[in-house]
Amino acid sequence: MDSVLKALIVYAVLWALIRVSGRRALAEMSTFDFILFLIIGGATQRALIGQDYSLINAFVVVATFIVVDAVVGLLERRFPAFVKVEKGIPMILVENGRLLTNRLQWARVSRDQVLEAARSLHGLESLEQIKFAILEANGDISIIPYERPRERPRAAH
Amino acid sequence: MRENESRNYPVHEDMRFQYASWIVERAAWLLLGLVAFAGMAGLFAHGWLSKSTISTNSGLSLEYERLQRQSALSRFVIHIPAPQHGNAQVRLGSAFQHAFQIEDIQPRPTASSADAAGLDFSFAPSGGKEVVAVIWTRPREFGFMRLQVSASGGAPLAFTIFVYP
Repeated sequence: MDSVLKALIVYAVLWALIRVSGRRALAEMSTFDFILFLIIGGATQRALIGQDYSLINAFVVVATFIVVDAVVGLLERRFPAFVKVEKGIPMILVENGRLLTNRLQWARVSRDQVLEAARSLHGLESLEQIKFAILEANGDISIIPYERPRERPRAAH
Repeated sequence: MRENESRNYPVHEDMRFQYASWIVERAAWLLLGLVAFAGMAGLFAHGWLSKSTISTNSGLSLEYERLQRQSALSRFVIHIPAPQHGNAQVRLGSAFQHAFQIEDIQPRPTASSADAAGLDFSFAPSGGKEVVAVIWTRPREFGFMRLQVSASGGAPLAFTIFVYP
């Protein structure tokens, strides 16, 4: 009984911790972040299993996680509002070449990160070539360039 | 259009929700900071906040952790006034039988016995004014626990600990 409860609590707590750690954290996972996640896994695994290394206990824990995951998936399809809370929502960072600085600040995204995404996804060089930059719910930055970047009105040089 | 207004193209935004979740996020960081700090201070056992000492008029005293964690090792240090003659006797209430796994007792008791009301240990006198017995235990259950320790038939020390799951 307590392994089921523990699994539920661990699921909920880990979800909450990762959710509040901010979405940038997941998208920009460095080698060190990866190691950190392994350690988090190790630390919770001990609490989850305790000293009960039996096969049944492992099955019960795994089954609980799969059921919870399935229920979460079901809730996502049924209630769009649930997805909002669970995963967050996309948000525009650059609109018609203009940086929305207050949003960037709150979301802890830098101008350089937006430009980096623009470079690597579309080979863009400057903000003026970006029609929209969107911070997705999973932390990725999507870039929508102007359709014909060369014909973009920009200062003559 | 102002930054805090929700756009509907190319994605459907909800800036009210977005700002609310940022505020919750910041509040959560503060909370996590407090958790780490409280952990260092011993709110989750093993620190100065969790340590406690109680004693009776007759000289029996006990150092223990009032906050413990399930399955984590913790110790009870019992100071028993040395009896005039014979061994020093300690009785641990029955909760020790139900909720604790006793890992080690230092020094080794010369005799031990148990009944439904608790566990009895006797320790050989040290020659000094008191016998100090250290009992290492692991709680097997969590929640509040009423515990009792008495020595040589004297008045018991009754105390409550909380065990985190």
